[in-house]
Amino acid sequence: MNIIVFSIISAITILSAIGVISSQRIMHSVLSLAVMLLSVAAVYAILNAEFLAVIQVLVYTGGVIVLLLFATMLTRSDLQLKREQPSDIKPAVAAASIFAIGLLFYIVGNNWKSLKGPAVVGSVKNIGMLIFNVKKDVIPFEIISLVLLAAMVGAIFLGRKEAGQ
Amino acid sequence: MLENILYGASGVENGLIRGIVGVIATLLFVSLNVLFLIWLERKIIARIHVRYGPNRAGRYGMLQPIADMIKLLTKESIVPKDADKITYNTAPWVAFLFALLPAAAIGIATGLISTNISVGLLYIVAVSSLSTIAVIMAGWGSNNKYSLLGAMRTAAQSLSYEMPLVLSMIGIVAIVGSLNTQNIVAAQSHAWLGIIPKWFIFYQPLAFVVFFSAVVAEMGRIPFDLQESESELVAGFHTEYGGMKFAMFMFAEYTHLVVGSALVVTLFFGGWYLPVVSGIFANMGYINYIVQIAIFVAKMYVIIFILIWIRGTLTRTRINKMLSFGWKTLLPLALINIVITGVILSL
Repeated sequence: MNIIVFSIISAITILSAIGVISSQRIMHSVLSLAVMLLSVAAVYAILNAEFLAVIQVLVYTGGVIVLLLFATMLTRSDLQLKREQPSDIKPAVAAASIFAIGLLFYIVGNNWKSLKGPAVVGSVKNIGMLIFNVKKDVIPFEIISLVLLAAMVGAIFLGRKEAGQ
Repeated sequence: MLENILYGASGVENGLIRGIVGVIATLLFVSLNVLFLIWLERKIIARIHVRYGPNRAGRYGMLQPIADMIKLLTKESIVPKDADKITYNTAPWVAFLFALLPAAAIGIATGLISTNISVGLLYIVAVSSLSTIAVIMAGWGSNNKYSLLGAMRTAAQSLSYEMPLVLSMIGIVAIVGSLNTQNIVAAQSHAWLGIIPKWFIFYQPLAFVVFFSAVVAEMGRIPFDLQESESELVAGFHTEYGGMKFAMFMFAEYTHLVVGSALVVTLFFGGWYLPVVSGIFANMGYINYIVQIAIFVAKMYVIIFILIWIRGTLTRTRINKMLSFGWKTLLPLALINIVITGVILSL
């Protein structure tokens, strides 16, 4: 049963990923990306990783995609504009192929362990216990949030107009 | 058993059947309420405006929504020549789907819920932010400057009001210690002296004010309906839509109303618990379920009535005032609420 659902979702993921790079209009690329990210969230959901699935939707589809759409909508409102074909795509194809083959070797060679029963590892409670535990990850976590805060303040400072301008 | 099919764990093993039943039940509940709401809103607004409202089709005009639906369904489908066909045609369905998604994690009685996931509240927040995508698709795909401006406003509005909306829920999550909507309602099921309910509106009054304002803004209703302010933007993002596709957008809008008020009831008004009544029917099996659903729906309609009342009373704000209200008033209030809740909980 799960394997059928997984196959359908994977097919949607791959097709929409192809859609992202082959669409003529940027807006269609962004929307394909949204479909792809949603189907990745669905894969997380069938693996019982509820928290990860919901965060995937919240951060990527709800946040990143909406911002991308917002920006695309303002920069390119002319529907007739088409994407130009890049002149030389051979180096990119080569690099991507090498990366894909390497990844495939890693996936096949790795000895994956399967979780039995409902995945309690990914529950909100366990993740919270890991992140906010003094002995585990609380210090790196807080440092990352400080760095992000500094980046946000910096972005606002750079983007702000000077008074009287 | 109905509750077993929907609740899962003990009853039906087959996840597929449970999923299908859950989807159909959610769709049915939302559709019936939307049909009734269209009539109710027109009737109440008419009352506020000192008019009669619909009174021809059926008794008190109650068949009016069905008549409207038949009219819209039989209309010719017109697509603008320069519109982006794929985006233009799929946008109404995407809007409808995304509006319906949050309803899956809101229960209407103990165990009567489509998907009882542990991260229910987070799921609702995540999927309700998706409806912006449909609006942008419609606005951009129509290739019309009014549609585009309307969609742009919606995106700005939903991005800025999502922040206070999420932050105002944190106090409740901290008190309950769970993101599951069933647990949140169960935590409100007791009463002081047997009469005064322990609803979260009494624990978190500030959060309620912030949450309610943010919900009204996310729904795009007056006083925050700038996405379709007709004096500046014709009809906003759905200017170019007609017939069936327009009906889908209207349906999505009323679905937002149903889901939003159900969420307010779940978070702040004790869901399906009423102090004295719930105690009387607690051990009566199926009657208890019917009573719980009735209590939930009744509370939902009180909230909906208040929302319609607001629509009939207030005027529209200006876009810059609205955005600064979100960022400079609601967001600090939500943060203050988190600090106060944290201090009180740690005492």
